[in-house]
Amino acid sequence: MLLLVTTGEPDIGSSPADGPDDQLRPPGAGGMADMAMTAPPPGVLFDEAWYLAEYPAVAEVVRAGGFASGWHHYLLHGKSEGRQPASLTRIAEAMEQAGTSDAPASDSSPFWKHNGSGFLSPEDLNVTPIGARRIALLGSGKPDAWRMFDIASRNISIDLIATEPDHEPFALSRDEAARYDFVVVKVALADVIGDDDNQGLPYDDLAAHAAAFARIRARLKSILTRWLRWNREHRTLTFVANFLVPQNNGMGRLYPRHDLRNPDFMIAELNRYLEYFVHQHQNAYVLNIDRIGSSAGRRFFQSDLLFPDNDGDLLNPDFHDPGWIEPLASLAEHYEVKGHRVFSRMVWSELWAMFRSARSVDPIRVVAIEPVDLLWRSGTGFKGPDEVLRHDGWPDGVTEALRVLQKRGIRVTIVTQNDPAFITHHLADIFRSRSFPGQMPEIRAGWDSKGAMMRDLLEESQISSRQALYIDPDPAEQAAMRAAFPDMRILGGEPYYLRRILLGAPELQHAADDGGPFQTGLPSAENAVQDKGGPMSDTALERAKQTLDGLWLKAMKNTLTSAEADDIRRLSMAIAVTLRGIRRVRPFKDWATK
Amino acid sequence: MSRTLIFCTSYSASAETWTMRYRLWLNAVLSGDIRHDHIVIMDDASPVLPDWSDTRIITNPMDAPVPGTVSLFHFNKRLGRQAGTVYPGWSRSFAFAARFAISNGFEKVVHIESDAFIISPKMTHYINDLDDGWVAPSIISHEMPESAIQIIAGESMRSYHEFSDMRYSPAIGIEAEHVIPFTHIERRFKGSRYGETMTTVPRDADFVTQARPAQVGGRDYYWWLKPDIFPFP
Repeated sequence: MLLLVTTGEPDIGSSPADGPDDQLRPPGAGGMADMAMTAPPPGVLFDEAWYLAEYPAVAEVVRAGGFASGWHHYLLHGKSEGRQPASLTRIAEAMEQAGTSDAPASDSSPFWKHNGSGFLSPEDLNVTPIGARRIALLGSGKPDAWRMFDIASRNISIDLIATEPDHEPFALSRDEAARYDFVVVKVALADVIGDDDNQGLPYDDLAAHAAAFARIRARLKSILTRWLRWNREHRTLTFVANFLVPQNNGMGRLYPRHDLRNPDFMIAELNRYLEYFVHQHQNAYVLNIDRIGSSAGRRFFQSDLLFPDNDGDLLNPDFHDPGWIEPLASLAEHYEVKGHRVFSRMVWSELWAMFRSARSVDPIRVVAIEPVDLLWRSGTGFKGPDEVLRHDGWPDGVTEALRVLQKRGIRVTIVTQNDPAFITHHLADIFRSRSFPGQMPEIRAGWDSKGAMMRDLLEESQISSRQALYIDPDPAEQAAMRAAFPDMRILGGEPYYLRRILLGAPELQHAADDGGPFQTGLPSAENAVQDKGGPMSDTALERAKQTLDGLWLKAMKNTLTSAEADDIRRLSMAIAVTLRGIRRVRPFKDWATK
Repeated sequence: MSRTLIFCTSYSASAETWTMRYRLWLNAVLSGDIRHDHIVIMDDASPVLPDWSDTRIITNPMDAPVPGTVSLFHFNKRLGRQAGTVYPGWSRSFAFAARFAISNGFEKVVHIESDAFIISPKMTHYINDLDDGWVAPSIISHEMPESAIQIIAGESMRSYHEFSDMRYSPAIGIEAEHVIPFTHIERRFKGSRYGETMTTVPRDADFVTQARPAQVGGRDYYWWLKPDIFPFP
């Protein structure tokens, strides 16, 4: 049985008991004394009119005197039944006002920008707003456990598609598939690992554990095979979530970690298989929630604190068991259960980052860096008293990040006003040191202005300035570069952020099965024309071909307008995406190293 | 003797690139031994154009070449290249060169990209002697024909003309090497896209494509060129 609902509909969605924010929690949650209230106290989000209108059966009971108010019903039953306290729009607005991140709402300092949900997926290089308009979240169990509210405020339509492990999602026409910018697939761990799969096996029966894992893996394969239907049929961009690995070695800390008899290792191995399976598909990628969980601090939200390993989900901070004779206080009174909010927002940040990389939104092809202070310390003397250039510690971290960028196919260039021989000598020392064997990035050192050197670099690379990143700790140099190239992205104000941004920013990444936006060959300024859309429908494809071929006649007569030339570029790319899948270009080879 | 046109495609955002890349290529062709009657550079709407005394810039498809000059056909709007296999700019230039050749009575076309050079006399003679077919050399490193060097002559001029009349959309997303109807891939010559992976060109190469001197230095890279043709110090 498949059920398709959108965020605008109430019957499927996150449990209000799973409320997205403390602002939504009724006062005295867990207590019984104040349940006869007829209206929520100030500051608590509950929309009486909306609630009664949304749930007519409740309204009828309230009118009949069964409850003092909708709020009364919500407190007693509605919340645990999964009813919403207000419309999603209202919730989103409230969260915006309250500050939805883990940062204080009034604090927009760089500290929170870099310590909040964007920790793993920095937004420092974002230029174009996110282009996703409609996405689907497909899964069993609680597919919305990561909370829709966060992105509801971004005017993105989200279809929650609850499906069963043994069902395929319904067929989509090409037009329907084209409406989705991406699909998130979230398999419930409980659908893959049954309670009886491994819990009852004797520890010394390794073969039985191996056989159990084979069954579990086959089950996962079967589910993914069904649920990746849209990707197979339409090459829809798809992100498949992996599983949260339990926090403990289930057998005990003195038992072997990398052993299938250890449940936590078994789930880690399952993640490995999931990645293998997903990578067999074009335009499908793993959403690594396990890694996000590690960064967010899994002790603050992971459900294995209370529930079996195969629950694999998030803790509800409002959890309490109403079945006890003596009412229990909420879980939050016993544990610091706070990380679920951070985790959910980090998941969404990661999704946006993946979407931006997969769609090549605002890609950077050239990184130019001033080495002084960033690759070695001491800007004036260059050397310490022992005549040794200081480049251990965090500058090594930046150097390593630059090497990673080179591996990704990004052109990395040292741009500095200095003696070329001096710079070459010392960079060779850094890049050929024990830590970073290999070749150096290219060097542009001399006494021309950095702006002039940058202009040469751009011309030689034949890219526009908005595809370049300039890094310089000197505010005056940053300002000069910004004046010369207003649309160039510039970093360097705070070097402690630099390595994280270089490694994590989606604009500096591309899909592993895509040659990426960093192709060599005959580059052009029109690389700025990016593929931001998915495959077109058949109708749209035919129309695009006709339009393009009509414009081609004008192109051959040399009578194109600027808009028509733009159309040719845009249509060409759109047709290529539709007919040939994601861009497959010759791997970048020559700019990675000098 | 077939009336022969040599052409390359171009795009440059600076006068310096015109000199360092395109003038060098032009000088190499002018001083080389490949027989030709005219040279045309198909320019994909560069924002700046060279001010060369021997070069005539034309924008009207009906303009005929003037003997004794080089033609630079300047498209008014850039189409460029959006991805490895999406290259409307090059496709237009390549197709337009066919129309230019046919309408001006050329019977043979030699396409040598501006980062490609014919090095050996053996290959030069081969190009001069070829009078029929649509031929490209093979490059060992990529196990494919090198579309940056093409010779089209005889009956294949008709194919080239037909090719130029084709719609563009069917070719989108396909490498040029798989779109162009070559009649023969010539495997006797040693050459490759050396610039992709090497900082020098082998001394026994017959040709080179994707020469990238800017990455490795100036004159020394072009060991096969005569010293007096360099447009830069």
